[in-house]
Amino acid sequence: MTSSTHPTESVTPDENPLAEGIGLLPPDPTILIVFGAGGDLAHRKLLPAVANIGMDGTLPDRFALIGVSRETMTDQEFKDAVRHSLTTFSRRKMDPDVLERLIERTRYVGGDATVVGTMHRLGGVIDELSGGEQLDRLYYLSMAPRFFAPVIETLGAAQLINRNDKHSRVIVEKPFGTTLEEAAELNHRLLSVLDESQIFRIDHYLGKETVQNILALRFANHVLEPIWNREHIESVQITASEDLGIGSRAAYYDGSGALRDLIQNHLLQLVTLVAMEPPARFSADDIRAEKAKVLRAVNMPSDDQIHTIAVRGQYGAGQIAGEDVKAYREEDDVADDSRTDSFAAIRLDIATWRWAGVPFYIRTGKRLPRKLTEIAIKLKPVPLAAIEGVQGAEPNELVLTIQPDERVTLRLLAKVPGPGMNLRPVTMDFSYGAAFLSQSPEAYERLITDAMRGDPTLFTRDDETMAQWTIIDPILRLWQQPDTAPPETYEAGSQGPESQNSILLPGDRWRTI
Amino acid sequence: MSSPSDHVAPAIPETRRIDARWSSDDTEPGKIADELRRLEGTRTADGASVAPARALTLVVLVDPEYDDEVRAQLKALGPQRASRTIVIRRFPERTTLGGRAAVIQDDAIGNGLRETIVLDVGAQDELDLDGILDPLVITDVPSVAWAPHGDPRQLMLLRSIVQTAIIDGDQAVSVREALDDSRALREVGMRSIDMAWLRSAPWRVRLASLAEQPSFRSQLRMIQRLTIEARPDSLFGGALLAGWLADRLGWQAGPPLLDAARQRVIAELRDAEQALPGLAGLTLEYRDGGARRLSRGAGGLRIEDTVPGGEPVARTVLGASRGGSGLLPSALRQVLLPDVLDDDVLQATAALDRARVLKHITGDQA
Repeated sequence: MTSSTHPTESVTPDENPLAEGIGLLPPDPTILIVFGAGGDLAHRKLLPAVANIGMDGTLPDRFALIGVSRETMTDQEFKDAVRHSLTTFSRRKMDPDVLERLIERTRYVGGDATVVGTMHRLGGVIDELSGGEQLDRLYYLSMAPRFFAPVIETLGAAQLINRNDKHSRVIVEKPFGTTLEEAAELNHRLLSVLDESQIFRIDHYLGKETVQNILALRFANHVLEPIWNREHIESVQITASEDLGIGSRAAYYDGSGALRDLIQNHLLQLVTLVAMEPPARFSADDIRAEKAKVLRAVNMPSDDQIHTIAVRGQYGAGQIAGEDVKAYREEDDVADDSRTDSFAAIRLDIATWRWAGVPFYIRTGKRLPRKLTEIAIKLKPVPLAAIEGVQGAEPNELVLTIQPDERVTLRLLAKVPGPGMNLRPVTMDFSYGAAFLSQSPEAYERLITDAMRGDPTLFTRDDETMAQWTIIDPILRLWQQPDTAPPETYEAGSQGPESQNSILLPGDRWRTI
Repeated sequence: MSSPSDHVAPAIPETRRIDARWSSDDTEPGKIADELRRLEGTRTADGASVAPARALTLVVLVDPEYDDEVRAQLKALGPQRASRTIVIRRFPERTTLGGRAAVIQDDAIGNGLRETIVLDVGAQDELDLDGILDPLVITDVPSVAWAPHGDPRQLMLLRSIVQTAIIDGDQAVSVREALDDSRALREVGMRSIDMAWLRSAPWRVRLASLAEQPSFRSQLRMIQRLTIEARPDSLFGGALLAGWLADRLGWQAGPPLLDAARQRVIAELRDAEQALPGLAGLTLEYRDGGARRLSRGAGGLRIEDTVPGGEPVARTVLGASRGGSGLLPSALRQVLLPDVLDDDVLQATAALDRARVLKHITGDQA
């Protein structure tokens, strides 16, 4: 202002004059409708995430929350359950005033969400909370996948959503189908009601700061890009291990297994971020298009060769941290003859100029020695071993650790002090927590806020989902054949089944978990 | 020169807990830096897989009478603590440089180490603070200085090694003095992060969010009176908010204060009583008789809309108060983020102040 800064500049009706310099604004006024509001995910993750967004002051103006589930409950009983969830599971101590204001704006609709009558009652509550204004609606389907399509179709039938309504969106939890055919059918049914831009397929790994940091590391640093290709990279290894067993998740897990539970979604998404080409622009469409290209470029072998790139295992009894633990088949609600994979490892060949010949190894498993999620990028050895000791030494390796610590480590060879030229590996560490000054928000907080804003960058597009299933489906079909060997039993607390080594190319080995 | 109190003492050696300390009543900056490196070295010797954090050096200038208060504020930072914190305590009668150093494992940052240095300086050291600090700040990462309760201009003594100053314009005796402090720091090349500006952040964000609605954007062009309420010790924050609105809406300070369409605007800054420092309310009155008022309410900002001739309709947007202790983490985070108090806002605030068109209504007058 003053006569020198903004002489007679007028504010045009189309611009927001106050947005400059603010950064991300809170989303537009929104009602969040959670289907499956009585479930574990809603109470442990979603509702606390919403409350934490509220604590930060970034919930939309006029925000309201509606829980929908089959249980018969009054508004007050649901509010009490929400209050309990938030005080028990929030990552931060709840501000009591914020808690009460949120509870005030919370309602409950009980009933079968595949019945139009339930949706009409939901519509009535939405109208009541909207107060005659057009508020955005975000429907979060936190329920068993078999309900995704019927619920969305019922929402459509009740005219609570339609493909021309750009102010209504749907978040769909994983798993998105259990086979390629099911996923295709689900996509078809969803897209018969909605436009793709309204569907937000959540993969909470993409909400993690370290996962997003892969893009920053790759595309904001010149030092990495020149070596990010088959000329310099020997192999890529992605591991997601857990020391825990299946706990009380047998009902879900025994019908799913490790390949479906983690590799089909989370770990293939990590592959895309490591392998994608630089997007022309940092936009949702450009990023997701490049990710989808990676998945489509995966060269799967013929069915009779699948066993050369995929193995599975199942944990037996053993010890974790000195404690005896039982075998998978001894877990509650697991059949004595279950053939479910609690461990899966695959090798992918990405047939592009950048990656041809570079194996991408992916493995995940339960009851392994520790909880760890990492991406290890192993570089090739130097072309000439002029210094004695280089020959045979471990080559450079860049490791992106996602859990338990968020860090990036580069392994280099260095001279051991003293006479002679003796080498030993040393590491350069970048710890995310040490380099920045605040805790990362929960992945769900970031993703729910993005969905309310209508930003799909960190959500999986339909072509990505289908390409992921195209990779996984042949392996699942082989494993489901009765004459296929059962999963190899590995001792709990061990590095996993011996057979995982069979998919390694000569000279490669798995990193120690 | 080291005194007999020089020592290295891992506090819990049997568990290899990373917590090593050293102190001396009479030392030199280079010696403190050497000892800090030695403390870090003991960690490597233990075989622990830890690395010192390297994000930010925070230099705190503190008078001994505020020692406990400042220590509590630093402790409350939790995981948002700076990588290395250097506390400089001033004792005018002191003739030697006292130093303490500690290296502490911080579980919150995953095998990271944070370092704390406390320097006790005498009057003879005060003009050479940049020389004393030179070997102690982490190179290649930002350094920020903060003088709670002190004169912000003393931070200019550190300008050769510290790039950013955390100040609190609300502590200045007048809006003009706060503006002069900020300008003085900028003139010597230091970026200032003003706590008073940060206090207004939730108000700015919410106003900007409301302005996404075309109807409110139209109303912004019809403002005939702007009233900002602030606790009497937070007037500069109120003035900055007025300056921000004036700058973004293209107002001219005059006098009289005119909007972009050269219509007259009345702007007032009113004293308001409330428990916490900061802003208490903001009211926009439109030429058509309507109004929008934002005020601090339980659990968030209360928004009250009045259509011409109608009754106010109120709602609350959620948000937790950051309180006094919540502001310092925001200030430290700002060192790494681009939300700076921009020159345009400072100039607009200064123009309002010069033209005397932001009328201060004291508690008595109100």
